[in-house]
Amino acid sequence: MALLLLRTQLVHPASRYRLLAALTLLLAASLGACDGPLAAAEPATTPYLESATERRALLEAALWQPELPYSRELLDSYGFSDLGWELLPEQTSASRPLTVTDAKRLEAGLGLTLGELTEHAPVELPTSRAGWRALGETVFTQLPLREDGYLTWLASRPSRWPDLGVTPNADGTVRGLVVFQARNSRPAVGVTCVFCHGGDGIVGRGDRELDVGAIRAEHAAEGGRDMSELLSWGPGRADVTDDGVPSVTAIPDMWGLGHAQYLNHSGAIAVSAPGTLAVRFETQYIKGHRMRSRPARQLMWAMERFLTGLQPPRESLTPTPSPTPTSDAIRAGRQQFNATCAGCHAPDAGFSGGLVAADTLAVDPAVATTPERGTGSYKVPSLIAVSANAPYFHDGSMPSLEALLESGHPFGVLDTQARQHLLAYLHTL
Amino acid sequence: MRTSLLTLLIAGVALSGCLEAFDAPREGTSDTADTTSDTSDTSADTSDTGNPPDTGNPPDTNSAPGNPSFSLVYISGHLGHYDSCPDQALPAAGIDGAGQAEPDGASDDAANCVDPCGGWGCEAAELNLRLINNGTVPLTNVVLTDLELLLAPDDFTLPTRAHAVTVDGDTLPTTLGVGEVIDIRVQFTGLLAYRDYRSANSDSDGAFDSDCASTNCGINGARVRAVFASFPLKQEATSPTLYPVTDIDT
Repeated sequence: MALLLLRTQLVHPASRYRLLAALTLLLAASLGACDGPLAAAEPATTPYLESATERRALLEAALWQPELPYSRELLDSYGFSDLGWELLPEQTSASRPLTVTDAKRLEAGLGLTLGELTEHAPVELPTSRAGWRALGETVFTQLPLREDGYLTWLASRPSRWPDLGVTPNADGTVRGLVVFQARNSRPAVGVTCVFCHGGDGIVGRGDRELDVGAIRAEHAAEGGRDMSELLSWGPGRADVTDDGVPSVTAIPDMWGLGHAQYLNHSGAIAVSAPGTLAVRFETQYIKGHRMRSRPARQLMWAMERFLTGLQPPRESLTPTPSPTPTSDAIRAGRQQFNATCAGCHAPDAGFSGGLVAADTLAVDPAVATTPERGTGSYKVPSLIAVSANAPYFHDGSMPSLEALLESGHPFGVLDTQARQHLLAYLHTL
Repeated sequence: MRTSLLTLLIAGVALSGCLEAFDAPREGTSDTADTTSDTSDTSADTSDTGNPPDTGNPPDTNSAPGNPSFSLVYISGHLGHYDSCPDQALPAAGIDGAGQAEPDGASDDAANCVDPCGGWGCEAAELNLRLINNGTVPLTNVVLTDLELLLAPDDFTLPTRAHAVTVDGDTLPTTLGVGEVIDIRVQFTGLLAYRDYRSANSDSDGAFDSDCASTNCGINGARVRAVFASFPLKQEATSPTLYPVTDIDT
């Protein structure tokens, strides 16, 4: 068995927040063991909601490479009590789904009407975990994250949707596109998180059909600009940086965030404590709305609660392997996994891990070294529902698990039998 | 004579207090954000990334009765989006008459397009500031007098012009009461691409592009400095590095 294995370099040392998080989890587990109902309760508040100082501490702990331009922008403006983004007014939290009817009106040049909006910020905050998660799902699916010119254009070109990977829902709404009152009080088209992370109609699934590059290229072409280079992104992929260096990545699934130690493929953001994700989301919404307003923080906290608890709908996702693996093969695969894979893809961490230096991997290092967010490393991805998560790698360059294990895994190749056993086991994750 | 010396002494103590406040590290911060300062303070510190650490004028508690005073605080901003309207971006040589808002009726697409313009993504650069009247008398005739871009690595200065200076969509109020706080939006002309500008205007030895790893000169951004006046006072605010609006930055 040819096996080259496991030279993991965990780059970022554990922080005090990780210890705090562990203690919090331990306490929660203890409470849960003693009192069932308490296990489903949520604390009334969290440091993220309490003060700018706490939010600043979360941000600084997360941006462990502060000199990256991505980090610099946030560190320069976020989490100060008396200046910067803390002084921004709160955004509207009302929206309604964009409908095919809206699109046809836009296509006919009739303009967009505001219609009846739904306020998503609740009058009373949830008191249970389920309540917070339900609110978070509403935010994920309904709250406009960004308002960009090409979105209005897209909404007005329903005839192009099939080629661009945009699929109307059965109820006549359009996944991920909403109408809301923009910053100049006029109706606008906004994009929500499920625009990219709602593939196959499954909340949290990276959309493998959505062709953001083609949308932007077509939009630009109609405006007289040549952005045809974006056509090379292909469906399900995008470059979310602006540093002049191509770094196209696959749109990821959201499962496993509850275990994530890092965000972004290059791990530019360390998840060190509860609230880290909320800070991340808040800054995304601020930038998406041109730094003119900030989202309601309770909604960002709700989205963190939702996404950290998000589980893949396995019955909808996982393809049935053929032939069906035997229990012996699965057992052997588990042993193989524990011997050769678990060092990085830790089973007790959602089969994810820390960072691995890019120069130790047999993959394209471009995304790990991009000027804006490059850390020199790649994060070890979660393997939750991995058999349904193709394509693989940060750039979606590996079409199947079989192909990945036959030739492409960064740390080496197993022999045929070991590979088959491992595949049998991976189908169960 | 004794009165004059006493006045000077008091003024010196007051100025000293202000400078100490600027130099003091901020609570829970790594002293990177920025930025306002009395224009009389020309010794502003700068961090190793080129961003000044001072973050705003502290309220002037030394104001005597009848003393005018105001402070400026940076809130947010961006450098616009000119991909589809490059002719609306700042000429490489800068603009004369920097800082003066254009008269009503300015017709620039970007200037009139505070949102994605007709779906084509043309958008004016923008700086949002908070102005606080922390004096003991109303302020009158507050105006923007200077506006410029500061490009790394050496704060190369490029004057620009404001298209609009507004508060909640209206023009600046003519009078600002004692203790009144207003959030001012300055929309201005930005560059098409800061990175390209540096390359095109670099020294013959390519100094602008050298050693970018330590100076952030390779990034597509710039700081923005605005000076407001209400005779006889002037205050300036300098943003941290701002960036152009992008279509898909997550």
